[in-house]
Amino acid sequence: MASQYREIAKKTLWSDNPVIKQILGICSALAVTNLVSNTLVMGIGVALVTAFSSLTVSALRNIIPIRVRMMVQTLIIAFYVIIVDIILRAYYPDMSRALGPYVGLIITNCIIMGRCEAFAQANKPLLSFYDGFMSGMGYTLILTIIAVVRELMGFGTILGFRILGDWWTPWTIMVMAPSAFFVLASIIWVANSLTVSKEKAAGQSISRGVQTSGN
Amino acid sequence: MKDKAWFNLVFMLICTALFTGILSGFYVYSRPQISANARLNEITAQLNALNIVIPAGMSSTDLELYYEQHIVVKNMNGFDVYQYETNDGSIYYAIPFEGAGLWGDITGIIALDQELKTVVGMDFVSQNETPGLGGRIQEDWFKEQFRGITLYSDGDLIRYAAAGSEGQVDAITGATATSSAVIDILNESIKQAKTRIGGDN
Repeated sequence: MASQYREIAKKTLWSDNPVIKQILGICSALAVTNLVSNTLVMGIGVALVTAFSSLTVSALRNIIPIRVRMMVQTLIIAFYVIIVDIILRAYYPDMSRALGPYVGLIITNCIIMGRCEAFAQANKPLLSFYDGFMSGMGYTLILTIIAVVRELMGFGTILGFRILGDWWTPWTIMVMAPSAFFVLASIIWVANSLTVSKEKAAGQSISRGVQTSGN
Repeated sequence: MKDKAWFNLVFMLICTALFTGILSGFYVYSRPQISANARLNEITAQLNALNIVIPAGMSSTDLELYYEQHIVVKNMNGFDVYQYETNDGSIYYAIPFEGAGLWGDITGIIALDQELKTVVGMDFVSQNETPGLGGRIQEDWFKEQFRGITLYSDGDLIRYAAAGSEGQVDAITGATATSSAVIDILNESIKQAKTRIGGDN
């Protein structure tokens, strides 16, 4: 049992990470990563929505008719996204203003539907909840790395605290969405090189599946 | 039974009713809090624009009272204006403005003196500009520039200072679209206010 949990953690955070391995959730990876604080809130939002959607889908998996399961999944995801949006607007108005329309767009994040379809549909509720939450954490991890690079180079700060002195000239490109592509691509490059060299070292043949992209 | 079309339909209907029902309940429950936040945001913007110092550590109820002590809503030619009269009898107007920014609507408050010749200050209520670029209009240094500037009497009432031309305020480097949107919205709103409020002076 415990090994199952450890396996999921390893997969979602690294070896099968939703962002760098499955190339999911790219839209929001570009949109919210120019400030670390926005990224963290977005990440927690995605993790919670994924976790609770997976929990609900898993709990209802034996009742939901197979033909309408995707409609039900979308409904469940939308339900949790709106709840997150209302909570932010009611209790964290500043954060809600900073994230603007992005919260509503959590709904289009392929990671959530991906976990519902690929995992929650065939596993027990608690395990699905954990899998959803950890997938959200895997997403948060990568986005936070991107955000740290972007905020540091774009503003000279991290979480609003000045790290680089006045000598640093902020890179405007780092504040704009396209820079997330450069940073994300670099991370994927490094991650893939590490995996490949590991496989080579182990003397295994390198087989790389066709990666599906979404969002 | 599970394969039947009617079952799918009924299942979907029940599911939708259930989830939207819970959602509506939750929304109704948190609506007072959400509108209170919006109200707080709006009155803070008005007080800031009018340069009325908000004492630190005020609760939202105190702030509402404080606001009502200072500001009266006046309807002028079908146009709501927030009026502030100081102890020595000078009158200032806080005027809401609204217009299209780069990504979404920009709304806010601009405060003018009674002759509509000087800007007392301005503050934004909502904006969706790029964080770190256009979004910097929300920073104090940008907003504070508008305090006490004298409006030009013809053409654009507020202008950005640029090489070779005079103006009252600085635009934001790297955010040309947002900067010009803001100045256009402000100029348009002040002109409108002039025709409406000026009508009964």
